Amino acid sequence: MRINYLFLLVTGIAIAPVHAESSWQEYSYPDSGVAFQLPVAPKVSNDKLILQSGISVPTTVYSARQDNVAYSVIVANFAGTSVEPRAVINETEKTISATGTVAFSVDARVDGEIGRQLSINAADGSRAKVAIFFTGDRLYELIGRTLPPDAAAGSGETIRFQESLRFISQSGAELRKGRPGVRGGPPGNAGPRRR
Amino acid sequence: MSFRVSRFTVLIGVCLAGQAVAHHSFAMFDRSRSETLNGKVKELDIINPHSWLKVIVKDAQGKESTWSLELGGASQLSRLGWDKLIHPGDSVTVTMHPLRDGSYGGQFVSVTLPDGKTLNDGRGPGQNTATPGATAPRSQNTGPQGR
Repeated sequence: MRINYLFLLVTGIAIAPVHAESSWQEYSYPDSGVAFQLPVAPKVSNDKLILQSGISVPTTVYSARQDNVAYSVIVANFAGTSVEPRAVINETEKTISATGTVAFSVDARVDGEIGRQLSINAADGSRAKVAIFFTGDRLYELIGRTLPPDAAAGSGETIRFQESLRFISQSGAELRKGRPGVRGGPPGNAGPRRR
Repeated sequence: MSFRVSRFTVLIGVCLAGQAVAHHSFAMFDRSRSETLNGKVKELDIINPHSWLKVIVKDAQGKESTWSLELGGASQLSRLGWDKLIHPGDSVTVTMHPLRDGSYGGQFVSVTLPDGKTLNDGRGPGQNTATPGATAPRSQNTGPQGR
């Protein structure tokens, strides 16, 4: 698989870091079937992903950066192809694992979908938390990377990013029960509650 | 004997059951271990699907690190009055299931407030799954231990 992780790294570093007080909110992209939370609004770009088999598919990349943490979500659209989802997940895991030492890797579940979650210590001193899922003809790869020299700082933010992933329908509706992404508590108390 | 369950009761039960289903697994957390953090509250963000508590912890050298702790959903915390009980700057002791890779984060278990009151986040049974006696203090403030 060829995916331009160098592009992602450069993009993550090039995006001016924002030092404003944390203000996480959910960003929903029904066209991509995904929603996730970030402390700053992501920039959207397009790229492509090429599998070892030669299959090439378009990707949409959502990137953001705050302080020393670079966030990205890659959505690869496999519609019209006949790939085996688990094989694509495995190839994606193998590719990104080659960028460093895998500290931890495990099967994981989001909204009933099974995928992989990894933690990688890269050779450049950065640390990445990665989530890989395949659902609805799309591959989803979340990467939260803390940058050197102090890659431990901000590492808690990358798990927050990873755990915020959820899958939504084309209409933006939830694919599970509940009211994810809504700030506040019971109906009528939907305002921000940051303390 | 007749036993009647109102539609309202069923509705409430269905709603609570829906909220009890986590939207993701907790694979990145080591739920076989518990650790404690002593620090000050930086921020409480009450949001679905999971709320987050940030705590600033000082190590023995005085270096500060910010820990992110995953909590239950907004409704659960609101029911328990979290928004009125936790404030930035509060000195707290937090018990958590740490991240497996040693990052500054964990799955919240409980918090002890300055007045000695202990709160959980309403996730109920299954939340406290640590092995008895496995609680390890992180904060005699030995700090992040090179993480």
